[in-house]
Amino acid sequence: MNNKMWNWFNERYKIDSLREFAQKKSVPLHSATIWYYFGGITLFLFGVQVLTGIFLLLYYRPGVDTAFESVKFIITKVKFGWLIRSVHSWSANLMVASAIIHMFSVFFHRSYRKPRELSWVTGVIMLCLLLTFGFSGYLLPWNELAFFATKVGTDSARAVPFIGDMALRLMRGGADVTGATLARFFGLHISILPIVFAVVLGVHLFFVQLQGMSKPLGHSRDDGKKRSMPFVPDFFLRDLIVWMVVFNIVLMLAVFFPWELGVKADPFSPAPAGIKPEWYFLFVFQSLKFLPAHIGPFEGEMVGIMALGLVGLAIILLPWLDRAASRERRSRWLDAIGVFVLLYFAVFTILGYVLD
Amino acid sequence: MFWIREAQVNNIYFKTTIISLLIIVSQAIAVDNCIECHNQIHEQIISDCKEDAHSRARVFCAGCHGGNSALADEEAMNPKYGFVGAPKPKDIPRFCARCHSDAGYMRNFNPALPVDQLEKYWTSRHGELFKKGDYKVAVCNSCHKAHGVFPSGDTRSSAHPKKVPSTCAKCHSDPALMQTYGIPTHQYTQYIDSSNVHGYALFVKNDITAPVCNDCHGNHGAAPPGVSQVGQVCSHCHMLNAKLFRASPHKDGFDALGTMECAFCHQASPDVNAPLARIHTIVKPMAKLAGTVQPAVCVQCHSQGDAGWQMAGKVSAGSDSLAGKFAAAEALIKRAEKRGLEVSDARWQLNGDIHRAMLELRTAIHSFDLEAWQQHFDYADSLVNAVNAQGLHATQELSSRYKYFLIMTLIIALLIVLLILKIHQVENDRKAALTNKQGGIRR
Repeated sequence: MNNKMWNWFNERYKIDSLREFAQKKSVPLHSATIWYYFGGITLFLFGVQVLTGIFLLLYYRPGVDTAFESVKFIITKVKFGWLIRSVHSWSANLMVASAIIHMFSVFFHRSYRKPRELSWVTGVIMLCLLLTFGFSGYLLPWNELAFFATKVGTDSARAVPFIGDMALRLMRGGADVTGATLARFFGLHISILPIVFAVVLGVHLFFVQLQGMSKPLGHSRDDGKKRSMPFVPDFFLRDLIVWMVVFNIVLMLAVFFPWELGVKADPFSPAPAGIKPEWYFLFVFQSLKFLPAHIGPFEGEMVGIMALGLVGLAIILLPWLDRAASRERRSRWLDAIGVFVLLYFAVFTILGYVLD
Repeated sequence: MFWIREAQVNNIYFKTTIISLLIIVSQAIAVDNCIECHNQIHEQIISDCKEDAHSRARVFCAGCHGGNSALADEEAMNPKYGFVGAPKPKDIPRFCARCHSDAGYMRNFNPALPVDQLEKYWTSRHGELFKKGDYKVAVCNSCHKAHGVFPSGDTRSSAHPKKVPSTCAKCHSDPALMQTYGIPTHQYTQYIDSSNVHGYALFVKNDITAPVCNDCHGNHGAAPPGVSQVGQVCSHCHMLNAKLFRASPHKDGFDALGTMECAFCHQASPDVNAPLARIHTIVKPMAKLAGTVQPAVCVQCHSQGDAGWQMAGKVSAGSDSLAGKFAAAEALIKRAEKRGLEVSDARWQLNGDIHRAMLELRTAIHSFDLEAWQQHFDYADSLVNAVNAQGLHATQELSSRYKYFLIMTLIIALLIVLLILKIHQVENDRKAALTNKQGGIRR
């Protein structure tokens, strides 16, 4: 029966060629093979996000009078609603963490070098999309922390020269964070971002399939001993094991540390003490806090935002900036910069939590 | 001819306005020679007066002391300019009243300010003694200071609620002074005692609505309330308790004994033999005040077996059981909150409905009607039971979550084992196929 079905499809859609392609695909084996798993983990967690997000959509009702109440309903009345919501929140955070680890592993292995420049670009775009996912999703429960964090977060757009005020109004749907902001964040989170992300993810995966997995710099010279593992089924089965472990971690976090709902946002109340953004924005938040009010003739926050923009641009253009990598050489300067960025991210995130 | 008359009237208004403006401007730019000359010898006084209520109302030195501040020599202090200098204690009440009892004048500065201070003062114990020629008693500046006078709402004022106890204590905690009048001096120490609910509210919780000396004794008409008036004084804030008490059988009993109503039971360690001993330490109201063992106050009058004793026993037992249930329910909710469960409705009930119900239950004791108290008790008990049920449900929910997690972990572990076995099988099959292939080649 299975054979008949297979033949029926194969006759029409040439599945054999796909199978042959999959069987030909191999994963290089070396001391850094473990880092390959983080791309898969991010993909798996994205799947979890889509699934739990769809479940949440069944009950979530956007609006200043309904958002908080509907999330409360989900976590108190809906069977396993608390689990779905907690898994969605924890999985989102782990997905960002996994994507960041994936990006740093690609950076230190110089896997973005020719011919994989566009895989890097699509990856950076996806990380930006993930951060936007996180930022927009954070507001949706319409609780006090999210409300004020969004207020502070969107306010920093004001520092962008020329288009700051316009960008702020565009994000908020007005001068302040209101129901209009919630409506557009909701639309962005469940409609625009998923479509754009799916397209970029498709392109990214297509590139990976087409070009295969990159060997880290230094491993790519052919030493006569080509060691690799078939992607299907060997690596894929290992991927499944890792996904199972990650899923269990997500479940553990959701059960033992359920994501809190807090109190409903009250736009007329003063901002509570200790307002902080999500951990992945904390280093930016903390850096801006350390900046003086004015740097030369410019506002400190504006300089900070512009510097961040330049760093973002440099990250996207990295494959073309790092000429040494394309000649299979490792730039020690770039390694040092990478370590500095990693330490900066870690130290400023910790400072963000420790300092008031 | 009407228009001519109107023009004349307008002309008068115009002139008056110009003259008034000139007076205001000249006053504003005029040099106050009192300050110029007294700057050195009265530096502290000048500093105290800088921002006080009188200065802000542009009432400077000459406003109270008279004289002509426009003159720069001793002529300024000529009595012909109304100079009175520093008033003597016997003159102070009337001295201040020159302005403060003049409603028309005071309206220029603060129309809401009362102008009956002197009238009230004469009715106070201070005023009564003053009239008899005792000038050691408190007069206006004893409480408000002579210089640096601020409205009582200003924290710099010696009449601000947080300062009133220490202001009164300046005299009332002075044993030498109070000995003359046969008045005890423990009021202040009793008031600031941490077990005094009013002092605690004022100093620790910074609640400036908490009663201080003048709220019970009056301010300008200060006098100790009589035994029969104590309940009346308390009832200004504790209306419901007073209403229930007055309708209760205790009212007549207390009246017959000549015992103060509220203060007798609510003072720290009440003693029928010394009913005024700790009157200024009003202890925090608690269920344990009603009962048959210390610190319950009922035992002061009731003896074992009488109706009051029995009721006290029932109230005490009920209160204890409710307190125990409340503590258990709160612990359950706290645990659930700590574990991240959403129990805000239960928390809301604990802090809102139940808190209110328990307050009403404590209030209901003042009716000394067991049936009425029982109704309130049943209501509070039902609320606590409902929250307790929510807490228990949360506890069950927690255990079921942990149970499901354990089951899921086992399933996942099993899947992982199966996947590992599958990997081994795939690798072994491949090795076997490779060996067969190599064997075939050799053959």
